[in-house]
Amino acid sequence: MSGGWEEHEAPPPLFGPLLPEDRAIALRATIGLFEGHLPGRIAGTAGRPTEPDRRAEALAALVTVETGMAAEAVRPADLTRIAARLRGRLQESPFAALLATPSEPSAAGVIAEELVAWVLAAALVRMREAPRENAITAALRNTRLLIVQDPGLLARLAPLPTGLGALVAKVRALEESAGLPTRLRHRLAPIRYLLDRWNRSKPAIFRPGGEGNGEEERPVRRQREGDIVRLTGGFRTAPMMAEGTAAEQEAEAASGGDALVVVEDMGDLAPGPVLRRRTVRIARAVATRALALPAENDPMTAHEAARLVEVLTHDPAAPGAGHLLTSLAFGLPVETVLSARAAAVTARLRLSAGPDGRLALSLVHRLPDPELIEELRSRAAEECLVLLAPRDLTAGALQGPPAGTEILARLRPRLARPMTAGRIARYKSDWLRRAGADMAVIGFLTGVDPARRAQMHYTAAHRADLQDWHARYLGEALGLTVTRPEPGSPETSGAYGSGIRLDDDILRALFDEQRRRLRDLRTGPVAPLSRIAAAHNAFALYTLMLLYLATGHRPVSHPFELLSDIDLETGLVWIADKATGPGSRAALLPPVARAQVAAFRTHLLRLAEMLALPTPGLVTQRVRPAAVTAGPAGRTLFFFLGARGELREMTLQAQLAELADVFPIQLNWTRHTLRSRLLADRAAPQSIDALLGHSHLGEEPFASGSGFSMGDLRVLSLRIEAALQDWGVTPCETPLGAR
Amino acid sequence: MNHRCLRSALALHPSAAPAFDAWSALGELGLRGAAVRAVRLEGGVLAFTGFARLSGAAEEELDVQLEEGLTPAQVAEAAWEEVEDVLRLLAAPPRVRQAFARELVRHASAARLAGWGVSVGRALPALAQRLHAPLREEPAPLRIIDAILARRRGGGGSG
Repeated sequence: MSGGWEEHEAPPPLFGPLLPEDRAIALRATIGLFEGHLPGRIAGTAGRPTEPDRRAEALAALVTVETGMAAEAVRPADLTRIAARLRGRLQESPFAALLATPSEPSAAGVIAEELVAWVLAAALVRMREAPRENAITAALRNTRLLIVQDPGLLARLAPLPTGLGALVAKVRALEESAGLPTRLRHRLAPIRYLLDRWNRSKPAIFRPGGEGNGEEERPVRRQREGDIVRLTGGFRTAPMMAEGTAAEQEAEAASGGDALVVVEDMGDLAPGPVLRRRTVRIARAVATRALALPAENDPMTAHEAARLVEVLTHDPAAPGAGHLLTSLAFGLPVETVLSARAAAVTARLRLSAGPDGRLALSLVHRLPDPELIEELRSRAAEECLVLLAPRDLTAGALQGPPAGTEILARLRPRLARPMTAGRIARYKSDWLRRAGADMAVIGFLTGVDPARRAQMHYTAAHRADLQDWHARYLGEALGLTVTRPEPGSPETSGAYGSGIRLDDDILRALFDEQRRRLRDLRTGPVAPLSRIAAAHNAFALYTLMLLYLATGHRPVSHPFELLSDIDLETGLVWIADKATGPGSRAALLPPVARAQVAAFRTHLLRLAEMLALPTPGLVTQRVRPAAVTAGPAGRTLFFFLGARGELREMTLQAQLAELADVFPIQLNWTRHTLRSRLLADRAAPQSIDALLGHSHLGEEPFASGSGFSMGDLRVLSLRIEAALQDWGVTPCETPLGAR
Repeated sequence: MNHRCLRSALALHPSAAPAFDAWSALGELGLRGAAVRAVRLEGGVLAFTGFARLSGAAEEELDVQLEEGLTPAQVAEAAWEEVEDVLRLLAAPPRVRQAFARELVRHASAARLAGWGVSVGRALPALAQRLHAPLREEPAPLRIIDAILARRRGGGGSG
């Protein structure tokens, strides 16, 4: 016999020494097991007595053991006690107050209890997103007052519908019924609002950051530029196959930001307010500069440039004239000109003398090697772009000290504003930008670090075009004599930049072969699950690849989220393709893509028909909701199926696995291909950037006040349509159910 | 007892799911199946489908789906449909027979396979043989990426 003292000791905790969060998981698992496997009440038959509700018994026991409270012991008296304790403090916990509201044991009382359950649940659901929202408190409070003060109105809701949508409709109908006093109308409105809020809430789409292997921690790096420290990195990269190389991802990530360093000078005896004002001034200047970074910053006018060139070419032997002309011709700061002249052969930027003594700039943009099948690779590991200086600029011009102050001083009386080395160095990019060159092209020509400009990662620009822009700048902007490289020479043939350059015939083969596979996978109106799944997966992949290529959507989990994000009439699609940070934008689907989305919807409906008998749950919970074109009931558009009809959501890993036999190269090849093609087609650079979601602070294409219009998107979508046709990308019918 | 309901109101009994999935391999044959359907005429019950069930012991009880208002032409059509189903089954191409064999092997229990006289070790080839569609050695289907690369090589490797 055990000692009597044991009876008074608290029982050992159910989950032992587990931490609170693990306890919650263990509790959830237990509840899940009970709810999934234990039977509810089983009615008796002849020869078998009625089985009580074992599930309820087990759950009640769990509550008793876990909390020390008897679950079945919640009697009206207990609630009355709670209500008594809350008296005078009802505002402090509207939730508890509503819970403890006494209800009559009448028909109205039953309605009240059901309504309380709905409102409490709606409040809990909303609290997960906006715990302090006033709508929650208002609904809880008004439900309580409704039960206490207006039970008659409550009875008019009888019988309470079983579905949330129907309940909202019923409350709304009552609220709008004629002759209802305004006071009661105001009582119902908050309740209906909260319920409707729950009804309309879309399931949240979660995109896990790093999935699987290949993650890498990018440490925060500081780069000091004067008073400003630039912060980059500080995130985990996704696998390279999924989102491209780490450098690409870093360029894509919302730019780290700039920090301001205020040097504390102990000798500065300025009073506090003055120091504060000074700091504010610096911060404001920095912010302005950040806003204007890619934009023109006090650009030189054509007149100023002409005067400068005149002085520099008139007296080329003047101290520093060669350096300034080199800076102007290549768009590099004078310090960079000096370091490039002294650079080793392997350097990223190198100024060297050609056979005729003329200066030439060799640029190497170290763009990371993409994950690519060797046979599809068309770029040497490291390529170099060589730009020739104007005819009279020889290596000899860079002899002597770089001091050009005397020349600039000589110019001063002839110009309205002072000429500075910075304005000279920036002129090339400003002019190219105004002339309509793409940000990537400007970056390649002026030696910008690709980490600063995501566009450069995605662009393989024709060398001929790059040379053309350079020559146009020297000739048209500066009026200098240009010699272009020989046509057909390595300097004018092929492309420069991104390593993903897929020939048109590869793309044609890719879509051709997929369509052939889809023809092989055609099924009758009835087919085994494995056949249905194979056909569905291949069709989903085709549609997804087509849409990726047509919109430049970043490869992410759950791409193109909901069908209701796509307007099938106009082709307007809302894209939110960044795991973190702002990245949502609009795009216009070209006709081919629009037809494919329509075909995919037909496919989903047919899939629902075919799966209705073997897997009805999958149809109602996943397949049909994916085909919903409006409203809150929709679920994400794309998913895969396993061979036994099990659901496989469209994670990046699932996409990669499905692509392994189809096109195993890094998923964002579509963005590389699309950008390079649009650039080659002379599409407006800011339209390309808007499409691909590359914008810089202060220039966002969809922000208010932006000059970017739907018309620009339409022009772009026509170009994409033409490209898709060149690549043999055509809409394709579902392989399901064709007789 | 007759119970008419919409197809959409019908779900598959879980115990029947494996057999249904196996049967689905014949889906593209467009079979229509046959319950015993009958009409009442002059006091008698006249069956016109479900032939396989009709020829049994006289005292066996049958579930019969009684229908009304059918014209003789509709009755004849329904009866021929059943015969056509048999024709379609017998004429099913080897591809369909092989797919059917695959699904049968996938879903049937070992005991059932043994009941069909098929050894579990060689179930698929044996069953395919039984269905007059012997499996031939098929090369594994070409992966799409391999097909693309093959086309590229065949095309002279330009680029």
